[in-house]
Amino acid sequence: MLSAPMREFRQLLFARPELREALRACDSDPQFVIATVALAGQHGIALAEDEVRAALKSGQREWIERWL
Amino acid sequence: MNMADAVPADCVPVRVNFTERGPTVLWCFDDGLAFDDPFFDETVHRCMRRPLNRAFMPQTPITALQDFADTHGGRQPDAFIFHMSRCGSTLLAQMFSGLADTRVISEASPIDLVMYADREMPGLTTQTQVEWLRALMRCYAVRPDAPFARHVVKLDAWHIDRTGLIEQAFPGVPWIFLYRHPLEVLVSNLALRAARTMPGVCNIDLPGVDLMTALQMPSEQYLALILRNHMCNALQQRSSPRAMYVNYADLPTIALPAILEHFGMTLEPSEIERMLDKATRDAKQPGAAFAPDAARKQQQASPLAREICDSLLMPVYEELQAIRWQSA
Repeated sequence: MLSAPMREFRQLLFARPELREALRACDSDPQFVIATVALAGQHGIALAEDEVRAALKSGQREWIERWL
Repeated sequence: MNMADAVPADCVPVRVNFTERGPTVLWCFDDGLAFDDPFFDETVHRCMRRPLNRAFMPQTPITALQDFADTHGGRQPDAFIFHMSRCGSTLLAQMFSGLADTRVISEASPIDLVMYADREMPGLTTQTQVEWLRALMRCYAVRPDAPFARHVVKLDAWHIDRTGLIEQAFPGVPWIFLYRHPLEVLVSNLALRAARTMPGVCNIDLPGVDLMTALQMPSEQYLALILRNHMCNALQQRSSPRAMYVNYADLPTIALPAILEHFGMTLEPSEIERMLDKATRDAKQPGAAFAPDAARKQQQASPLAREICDSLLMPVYEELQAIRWQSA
């Protein structure tokens, strides 16, 4: 379950292709965490790095479970 | 996820979960990829390497499929490829993926999950299942800026027992059933066993074969029963005007014009050339050149495989041969 700020930022991402494009360029998780926190901040959403890391971990688990 | 979170057009459904609150769909951003890998899941794995997908993949109720397909103008399939496994279906799908503006979806696991949703959800009506299937497949051919000109869906081998659902979901859409000399198919399956062909793992109904019986059978026999089941299910559809039966031996060149005609596709000579160029590669490992293997597979067959093939598979194969497409 994403935190409330993460859900808010996700809605923004879904509505704004250029924001997705900016994050799509991030290949590594550490790079992505930093870029996400910065981009969210630019749009008035305060995200903690741990929230982004938790979302990555949760998504990874969700996808891997498909093969279990 | 809140339904108000509209799924962006650059997403594809990658998984269906059956939960206590009803079925849900997991989506991923398609990363601009063409889905031209030999199998759908290979492309999805590439998408999932992106942190963006793992952190923000949309998750919706299954009803969002319909909204997505309608909102973004999802194209329904123009043709289906059924097959008995290891008989050139990946080759043919790869050939279609060589065409511009053509979406080819090859053995997508969400299609499999919806195809058998009635087993997960007792009481599910066929009508609902058909609607989900129709919506799901349309979601795979969404490109609002430049709509696809063609959409070809290659199904899993066992889906030949679900042609009824396909024909209800997409009336009038043509399909082919690909098959091959069963000894070659049997040898291939024995050499590289798909997980779903293990007793107790697959959801294939083998009439009269319970799990204990299946576990005690030689692999050759169990696999042969699966292949026989696929071929018999295909034969049952012989009266369908949408059906066409094609032998692997007639791929890629001889049968291609007839397949295109059956699918209602008119192509330029240069497009056909592109398709045939794709056929020069190994369908499952496109980095390698195609090498004929029929003779090798025939030689590799064990005496038991030959015996079982002769008794269980050849009679059905001959029936398919009798109704197959043949050059004039």
